[in-house]
Amino acid sequence: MRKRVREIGFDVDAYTARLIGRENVSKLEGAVFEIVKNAYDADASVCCLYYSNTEDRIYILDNGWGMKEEVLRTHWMTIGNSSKKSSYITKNGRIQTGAKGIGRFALDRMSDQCDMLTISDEGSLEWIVDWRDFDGSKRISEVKARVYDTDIRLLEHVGIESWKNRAVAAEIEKCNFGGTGTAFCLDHLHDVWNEKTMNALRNHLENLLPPDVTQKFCIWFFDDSTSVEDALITSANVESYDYRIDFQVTANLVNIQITRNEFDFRGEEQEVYTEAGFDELEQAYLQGKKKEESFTIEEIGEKENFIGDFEGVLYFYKISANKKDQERFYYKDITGRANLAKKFGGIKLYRDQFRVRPYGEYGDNDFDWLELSARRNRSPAGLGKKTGNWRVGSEQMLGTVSISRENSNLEDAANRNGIQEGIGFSQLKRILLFVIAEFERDRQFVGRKLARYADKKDQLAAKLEEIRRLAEARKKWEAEQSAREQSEKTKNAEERPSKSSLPPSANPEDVMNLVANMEQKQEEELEELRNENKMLQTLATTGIITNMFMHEIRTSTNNIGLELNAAYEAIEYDNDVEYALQNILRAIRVKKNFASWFGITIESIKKDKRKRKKHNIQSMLEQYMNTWNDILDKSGTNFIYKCDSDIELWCFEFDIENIISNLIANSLASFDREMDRKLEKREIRLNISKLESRLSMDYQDSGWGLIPKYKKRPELILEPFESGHHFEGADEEDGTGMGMWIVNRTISEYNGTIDLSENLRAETGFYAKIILGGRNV
Amino acid sequence: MYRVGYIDDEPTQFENYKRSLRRRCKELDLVLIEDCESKQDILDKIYEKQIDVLLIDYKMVKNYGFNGTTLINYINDSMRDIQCFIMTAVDTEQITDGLVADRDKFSKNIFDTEGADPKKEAELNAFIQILLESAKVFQVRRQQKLGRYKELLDKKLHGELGADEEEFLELYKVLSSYGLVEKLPKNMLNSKFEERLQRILELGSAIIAEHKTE
Repeated sequence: MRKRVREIGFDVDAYTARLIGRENVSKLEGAVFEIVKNAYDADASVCCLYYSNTEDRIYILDNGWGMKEEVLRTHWMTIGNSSKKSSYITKNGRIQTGAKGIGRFALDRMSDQCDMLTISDEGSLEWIVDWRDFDGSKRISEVKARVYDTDIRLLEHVGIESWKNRAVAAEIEKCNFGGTGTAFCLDHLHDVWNEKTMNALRNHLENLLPPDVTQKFCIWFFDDSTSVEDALITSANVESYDYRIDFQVTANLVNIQITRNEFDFRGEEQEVYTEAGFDELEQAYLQGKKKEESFTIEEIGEKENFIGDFEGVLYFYKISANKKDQERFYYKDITGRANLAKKFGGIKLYRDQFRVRPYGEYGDNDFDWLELSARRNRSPAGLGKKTGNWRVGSEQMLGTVSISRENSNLEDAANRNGIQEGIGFSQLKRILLFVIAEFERDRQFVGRKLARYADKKDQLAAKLEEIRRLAEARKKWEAEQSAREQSEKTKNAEERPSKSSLPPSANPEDVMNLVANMEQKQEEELEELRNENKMLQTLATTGIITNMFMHEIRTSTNNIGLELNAAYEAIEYDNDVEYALQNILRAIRVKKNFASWFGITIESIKKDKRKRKKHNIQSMLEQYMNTWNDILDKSGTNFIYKCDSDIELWCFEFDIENIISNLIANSLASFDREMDRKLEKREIRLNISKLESRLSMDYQDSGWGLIPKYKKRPELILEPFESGHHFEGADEEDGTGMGMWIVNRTISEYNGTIDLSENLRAETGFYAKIILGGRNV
Repeated sequence: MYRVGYIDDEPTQFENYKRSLRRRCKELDLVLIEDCESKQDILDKIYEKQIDVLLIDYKMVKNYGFNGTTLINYINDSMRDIQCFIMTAVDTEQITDGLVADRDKFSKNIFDTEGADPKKEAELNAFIQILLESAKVFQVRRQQKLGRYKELLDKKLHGELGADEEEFLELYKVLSSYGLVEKLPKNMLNSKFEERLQRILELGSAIIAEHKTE
């Protein structure tokens, strides 16, 4: 039976409250960040932080709206209660960034004693707290701060007349501190405020706001000896750059503008444009015209926009370039460039004009939050490389990404260190990587053209040099010969001409032998490397195929086990021998299927396939195609294969098999893609024919076609690590992203081409026209 | 006896599973859901066969056009209380579409006890217990819903159903399929809105017909 009802309120130990605050603002940089942010949120136009070395005291003042007594009581003094939770747009239209009501603990992080003066349009209040009162075993409600009505002004409160740094004090007096605002005097500081601390904080403040905000909000930060120029914080900015990439994500669209500023053709523009093959539009881009691109969210591989609108600007900024590359790629002179990433940071994130730490913070683990370095390690190709993708380094990419409090799925992490991990943050990273990949593609497009042009020039230059050397030797020999003839005439001698009268040259036979030997040695080395490379490609293909059929292989393995177990149980429990025999027969049938898989996987690396020789394609592929036919038939796919009988190709057997295996693996993945309806038919057609002196492969399937990400630009699938088998929005990625890259590499080794343009026109199905030609046929 | 529905586009192991279950638990009977073209066909079959719990193969795109996880999503839209488990030949971690919780995914290998290996036997028995418990829960929930159904039926009979019409129809569909309530005449199941719409359409047709004769 219940008696005597009482209500008992919850309370919290004061020390615990202080610990919570410290957990949230653990670093000095974080504390300063919170204080400046509070000033910004109060619509201040100036925020001043002065460390007085002589007094070991900090003065902070801003000219914001100040706090009324009611706000002081209900928000400032109530932990966890922020006035910015519900209404977050200030009178002047700024979007406030804090909302957790723990920013005031920043003061506790900095010092033990705090004396605050806050002036609002209702009057002035002085608030004094000693954070040490929170120690011991008091409850939070027992800790008191003193509040006084007062009539002093902000500059009076901080005692500006006695500041030792008179020069900066004079500048501060000129600022608008006569009205509302808030000022703090902090004593018993927790940190040693030496030069190192000041420099670290200055660098931090320089990166706190994006450059365009400092006109509306300026920060002064100084100690007793700081000059006026150094005291006024200017936002770190990128003045020189090689590439600038602006982007905006608006609803379902991603717009990108790329500006090239990296190349200087040193007066050879016309020659380079013509010889390297830049068309008129490309020429305009090279002269500074913005290259504008637009994609839908689906086209970049996303299901929908989970986060809303945002934008940013990124800069590519080389720190060094060797002389050879500078000439080869016509780079502008970058002598004396400093590592801007140290000062500016990497790719920084701003929420409503305020920095979201620690992304892009130099020296922090999250400096490379987009994992650009790991990406570059996976694809280390040089800029001019014909195959492979050039990837930007993490210290070469700078910039700012602007998000807002109004974006969804991008909430601050509870400890104020970054954004909460989740679908929104993952999507933000993926979109940024897409934008960066667009820039990389553009730069490599230019780089490849310039590299080809340089190679062409190099070969010509070498030939010219050789001819010039021979011409000079010949000239010298002719002069000697003519002198000798003169002398012989006068001597009237009947001696046989000496050996030295022959034109200067080495023994041609020796030279030819030497060159032949060298060439042979080089060719052998190259051949060895090529073989090794091919072996790796084949092993990769084997892996891809095995991965592709993992489900079927596992099903077969499981089924053998299940049938045998069922046979065992039928005899053991039911004495049903007839049923057990049926089980065993089914297990044997399943076992037979394995032979087909091995035909495609293990057989592909057989030694005799690794020798290059002249093959008749039809007979070479007969066994291989029969095996595929068997496998495809079992998976319900109709395989229609035709091959001309008279194609002879000088090739490695596994090269051609690799191309076909990878194409088929992709088709099967497409057939198994879950859509809103059932696929009408599963069919693959491959027609291999002779095209003049070349080999032509027409490949098509009846699958769902390329996913939207590749539909507009099918050639992207030829790049490494591009995988269409993933489900957007989730992290699953069951494709390796290597298959079509291997196909492309192999084609390029056979001086061939691959045409995917039919995919642009067709609604469904996949189409590829491959031609293998040149010296190998 | 509880009925365990089994959905697989290639049910080669159905008979083995059925025997395996029966040997270990007399209360469970494995029932094959077959001859279906669409998700709705499957749902209808589940009602028809009065299934208490479901085992669904994961990879079914080839023959159905959708995977097991998508199907579960569809079934649970209509039958919130029925427990569905995914059975797969691949690693359960590879199913990451987020449509089914990890605890509801099992390897098809669970039925392979490798000749009465004690560890495997224990795993299979634990799985069977889960199936049995899920089936029982579904039955209890159906019983509980009877009370609510009767309350709504009473309102319906007095013409006071209003916004609860949809809930009533849903309960009727499940409970009548499982034989827990008597079938109602078809005209009782038409909502008032539909009745009115039907009347307006008839009126419209009559006007058109009249105009034509003029």
